[in-house]
Amino acid sequence: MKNTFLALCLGVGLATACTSSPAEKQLPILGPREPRVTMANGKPTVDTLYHSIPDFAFLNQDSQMVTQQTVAHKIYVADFFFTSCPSICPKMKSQMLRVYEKYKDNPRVALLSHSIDPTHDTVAVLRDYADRLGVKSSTWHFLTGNRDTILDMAQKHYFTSAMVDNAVPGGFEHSGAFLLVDEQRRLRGHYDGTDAKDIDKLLQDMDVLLAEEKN
Amino acid sequence: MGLPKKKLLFFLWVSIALAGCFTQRGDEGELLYGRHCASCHLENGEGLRGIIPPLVNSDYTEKNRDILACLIRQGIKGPIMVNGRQYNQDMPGNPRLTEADLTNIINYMQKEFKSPAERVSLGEIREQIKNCP
Repeated sequence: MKNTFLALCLGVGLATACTSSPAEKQLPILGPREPRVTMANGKPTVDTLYHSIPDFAFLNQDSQMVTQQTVAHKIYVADFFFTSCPSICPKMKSQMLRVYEKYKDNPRVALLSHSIDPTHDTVAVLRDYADRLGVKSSTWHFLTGNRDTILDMAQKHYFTSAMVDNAVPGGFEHSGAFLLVDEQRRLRGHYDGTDAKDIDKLLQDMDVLLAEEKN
Repeated sequence: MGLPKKKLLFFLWVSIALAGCFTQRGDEGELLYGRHCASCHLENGEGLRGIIPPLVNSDYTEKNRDILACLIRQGIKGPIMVNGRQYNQDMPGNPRLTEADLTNIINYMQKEFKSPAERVSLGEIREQIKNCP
């Protein structure tokens, strides 16, 4: 009797220990931050201002304007690519497909793939690309717009490199990074989109972030 | 009695040398595939759904066995059908690959992805390259 009780305690203990740990894990907030001092009732209080993605507006494969409103109350994964890319993009896209397949029916998740060759990647080209991949725009947006605005977004706000370089195959130099962004548009993770193991981690981190945002 | 032993040793030496040669050629194929093909067709040869055709059990590879080296060297433009599905993404050419490189790549594809079904020889690839369309 005593033994059964002990075993039961141990079982319950183990079960809760194993299931509750991911929820307690927190993702770091990336990027520069600065203190903001405000006066409340004559006393100074210090808040931390975190780096966050500014407002944006790009067209997706269905000619819809995608803005910060589109990702309101969602977490999202951003990356930078182009459809005719002969280097790392197919690898990145095959990893992004894994993310898509896991979260395609989750209304709290979005994926934003920005084209850094918007002159070639028109809405029609992106639409054909998305159709061939077999993905829906409600979750995965392929974005086009002004090239400099997109390159600026990559460099200054997502802190990933993307630039014109005629010396590399395809004409653009860019990193294969996937950026994880939370509901307040703060950067919460940075992953190598060409590395399956790093994307395993992204998939875990997204669950952690979704659990965090629920509270 | 001394002579056959010497002969035997010689044969042994030659076969070891040849074996080394063949394994190195196998590695060479893997290396070349990794450098020139894997970023699009991926290491596992499965390509990218709907965009980059697979090389695994590819009927296109098998049907075009006689011009495969030319296709790898010159690239492909326009729509093609692979295993019942249409693909339309330009494949860049690799004009710098030598006939030996092409042979190694194709034999690597044969070994790993089972298409083409039969290995190719360097002589065959030389002939192919001479008569590229």
